[in-house]
Amino acid sequence: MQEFPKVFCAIPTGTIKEYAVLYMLAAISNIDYPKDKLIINIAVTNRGDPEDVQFFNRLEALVDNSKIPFKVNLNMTNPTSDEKERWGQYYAVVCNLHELRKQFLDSDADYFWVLGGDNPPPRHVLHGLLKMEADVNSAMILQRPLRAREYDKPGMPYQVDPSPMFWMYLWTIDDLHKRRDLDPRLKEALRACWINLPLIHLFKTDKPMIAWNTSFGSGCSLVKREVMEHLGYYLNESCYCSEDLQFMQWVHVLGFKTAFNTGLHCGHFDPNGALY
Amino acid sequence: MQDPTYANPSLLQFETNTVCNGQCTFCQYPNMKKRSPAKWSDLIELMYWWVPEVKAVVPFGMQEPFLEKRLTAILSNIKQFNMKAFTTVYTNMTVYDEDVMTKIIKQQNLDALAISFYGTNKRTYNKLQPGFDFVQVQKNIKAFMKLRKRLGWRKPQVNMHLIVTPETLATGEGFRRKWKKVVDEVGLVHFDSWAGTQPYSLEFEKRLWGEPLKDRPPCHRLWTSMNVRCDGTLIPCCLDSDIMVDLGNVFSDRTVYNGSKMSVCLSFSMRVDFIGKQSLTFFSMVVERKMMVRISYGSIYNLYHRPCQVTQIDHLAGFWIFIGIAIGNNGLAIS
Repeated sequence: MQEFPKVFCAIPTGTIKEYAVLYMLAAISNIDYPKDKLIINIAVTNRGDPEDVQFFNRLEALVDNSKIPFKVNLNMTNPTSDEKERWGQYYAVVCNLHELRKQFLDSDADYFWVLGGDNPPPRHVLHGLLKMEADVNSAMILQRPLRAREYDKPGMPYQVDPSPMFWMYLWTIDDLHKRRDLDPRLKEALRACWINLPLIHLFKTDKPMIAWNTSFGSGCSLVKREVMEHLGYYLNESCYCSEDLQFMQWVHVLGFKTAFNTGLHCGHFDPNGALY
Repeated sequence: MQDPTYANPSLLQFETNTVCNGQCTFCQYPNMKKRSPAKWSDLIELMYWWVPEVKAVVPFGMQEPFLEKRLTAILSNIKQFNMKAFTTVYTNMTVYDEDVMTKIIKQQNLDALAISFYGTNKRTYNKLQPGFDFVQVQKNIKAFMKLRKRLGWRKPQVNMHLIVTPETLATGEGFRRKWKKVVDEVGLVHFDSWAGTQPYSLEFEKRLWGEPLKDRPPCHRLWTSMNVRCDGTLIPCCLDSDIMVDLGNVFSDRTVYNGSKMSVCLSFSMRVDFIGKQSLTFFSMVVERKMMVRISYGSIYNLYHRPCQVTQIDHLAGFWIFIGIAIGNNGLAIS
């Protein structure tokens, strides 16, 4: 008989992702996994706006009536002004993921499965992620044209369209470990630089493949417990990354392996109703 | 006007459990009441709020860090919250797992490793740290240094401490000469009576360090450090192994560090009638319900007003030359 590991599904969301809620709940209901091995945890940020509370109440009612076969926990986080200042524009998602991470670490779950509020998972995607052997595994998520349009301007270095994308590293901390000829002081400095300024380039492909040790967003990523014990989704030191890319930097610094599967597709919902 | 006692600490010391394999005779651990391990969520929350504010973190208190499975994870969390926070771990180096050591060096999240190996010779070692293998621990220390060299990093900096007791004093110079070639620093630590619970020779201390100071100001660490036990209790001093003074629980309320109990503690320790009092009582204070709580830690140790950092041998020019004179004559005041 097959043993299924316990999976803690973490979904940070809020009013900004309300357009995707119904589709998300439907997708979650259909995930192909044993009932007692998957727990859905949704976190909503209360930014002090009454709309956030209303959204939370609506979500609660929807969850109660959606007959999701798995246990669903709803959380509301209330970031303080200190947290808002510390995490900047990403404070809402950082506070949600911080709360969910704490709950995960106190549970006996083996995997932390992050799902974006607008990334409805196909029913087989969790099985696909579990088959991958890295410490952090991700399914392919397409960049939406909505976001792409922000970049799709003359003078931009590349044109963005909905295609699988991830970032390759020009060099990694592993390369630094191999350089025994370098002065340790220089190695320390390079390591500190690397955490703050990833030397990456965009990689796009239309072919199904597994890309090892790359950087990617966390819209649909399955993270081993050991990794989550070592780090969470925060954003202190980074020059320009988002909280999930900063997370990837630390994953590589600590020597964990990552894999991105372009043959395993997880949806990306657009406010106009399209699913990419 | 801002309350002068309101501040963030510069040093955070906390513990994750109270598991140690040692029965060291100079340590309070064998007699200490054991506490249950801290939950992950509490530790994460503690680090989340306080690590960004501090300059240094000592993440393992009354415990052996290499028996803590979460060792590398906790160090990694600290650095993720504050890359500049200086991390120090104190160990007896009896547990040596090559994989863990490799991880510690490769991950570069530990800045300093302080080794409590008080083995000027086998007899002294077995007396002070009974139950440990004198030869094996030396092998472990050397293996770690070799590994660090092989991996090509200079961190963690490895410091060895020698506790100054009548037993270690006589052979201390040999110890220093031997280990100076192996590790980065060799230092001295003062013997502490752990709130008067350990046998303590005041005569020996006087001969070694001279007469205690007449005016004893309170320890500066009351203002600069935050000490948290694994149940979340905030205590004013890291020597309070059995939580004699409970200043509140930081896991449930993070304002306790600047709370009323802490303020009372600080203002009381500044009272003139306690400054300079050369007795075992460090200070007394009125805590909640107006009860008088008498505490005695800090005690003799603080008579000399020494900060509880290690004194680097190299900074004490001619220390070992004069030590004989100090023992035989009027004493050597180093403070």
